[in-house]
Amino acid sequence: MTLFKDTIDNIKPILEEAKNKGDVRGYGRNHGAIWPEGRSLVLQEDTAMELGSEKGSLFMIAWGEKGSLPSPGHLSLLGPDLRESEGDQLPLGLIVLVSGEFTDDYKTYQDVLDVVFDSRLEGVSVRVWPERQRVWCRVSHKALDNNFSLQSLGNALMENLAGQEFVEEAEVILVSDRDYLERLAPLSGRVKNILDALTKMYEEMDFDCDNCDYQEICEEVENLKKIRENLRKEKEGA
Amino acid sequence: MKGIIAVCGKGGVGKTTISALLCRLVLEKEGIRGLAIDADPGGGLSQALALPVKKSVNDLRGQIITSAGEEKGNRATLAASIDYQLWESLTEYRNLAFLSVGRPEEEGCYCQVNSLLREAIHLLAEQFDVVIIDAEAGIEQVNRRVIDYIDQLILVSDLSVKGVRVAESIREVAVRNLKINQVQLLLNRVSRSREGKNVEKIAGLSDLPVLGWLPEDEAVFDFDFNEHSFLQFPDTPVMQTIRSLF
Repeated sequence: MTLFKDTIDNIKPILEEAKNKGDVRGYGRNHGAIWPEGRSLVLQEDTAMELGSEKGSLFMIAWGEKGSLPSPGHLSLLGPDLRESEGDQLPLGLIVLVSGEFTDDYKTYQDVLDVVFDSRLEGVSVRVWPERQRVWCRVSHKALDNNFSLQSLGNALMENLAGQEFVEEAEVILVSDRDYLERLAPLSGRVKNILDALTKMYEEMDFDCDNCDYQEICEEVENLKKIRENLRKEKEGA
Repeated sequence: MKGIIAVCGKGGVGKTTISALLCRLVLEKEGIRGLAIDADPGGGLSQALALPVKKSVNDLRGQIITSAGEEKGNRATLAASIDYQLWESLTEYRNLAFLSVGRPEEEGCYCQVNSLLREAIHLLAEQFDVVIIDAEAGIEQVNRRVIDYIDQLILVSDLSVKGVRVAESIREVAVRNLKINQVQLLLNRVSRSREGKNVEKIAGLSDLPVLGWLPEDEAVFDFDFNEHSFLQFPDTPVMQTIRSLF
């Protein structure tokens, strides 16, 4: 049982339903060109499209055992791509799922986050605020004129994840449809709770569970309890 | 006009005005993206440009410390959050972005937050073609709070011996604390009657390389007095000189 088994299991039926309704487009890895890395500065006057931020966004990272991902090696797009949108703003959800053999969940969290953080695409600014589960993306006129799309963004992230030794399989889900964003929001809230509890354990090394805000989530998620016990023993042995 | 330019000097010599005029010059440069950093706790550059401060670096620092509980928080999460909020803090005007550093922090050691903030400012600055820093006289604060290298340090002085001596002492501190490519003296508010010999005499007092001198300009006084944005400054002799020097 891993930290996010329930979360990943709960994403599957949403994707499945979207597939049945024809609301999702799936792309395999290497489908489409890889967008070049480069200067990601996009000021307002250069912006063709703005996505996410506080106007509607979701950011989630989760990981599990090999074989646990809904569509490993795939990029899924729920909602319109940039050129299909009528306005110059769109909501944005960015879900990054990876699988493999992870011995240190806390390190895995930092490593996956680093991959997202270090992805600097030419003419595209992507910034994430993990504590608020926010993602904010600006796409320049030049990038849009050169056919940058959400597929390009997903491809670039998939490529960067595939280049990491700790990743066996990766999957990226991009959401630009507000309804699906709202349906996925509770799952992202749960991921945030788990990650906050994990961070607290590692950073504070305080195991006074009676006075902890994360007592409930630790009781719910079996693996969090195991991590807590291991850290407690480590602390006592030190 | 390229790289990181810091403008520094004795109080009252006009460094904020010169920084503002450099920002005005950025607006003329097609394809150039500029970042103006107000590193003077007085916050004069924001007023000179008439660009509001959304959130200063110090506000951001305070929020992070409060929400993350001092030194707690995962390094990668903090780095991403600081990066996001720093970009959100920028006030933009055409091809120019503006960031205020704010007042110096309160007592206490928050090394992780401080070092991540500096790293984030460094990453931010790297994205721009030109960065203009309006620095306070104590340039060592720039190293501690903003950035650790400068391409061009402009030491501003009026035609006073004291101004030049202060510029020299700033240079001494600056070269000890920061990596600097070039240090130059810029004489400001030179009246017609004092052009020539007076400029030569003042410049001769120091071994600081002289970048040039800016003429006294009534329009600067008017803009300041009427609180007009220097981003709208007309093409007067001082602006023309700035353009020829940078």
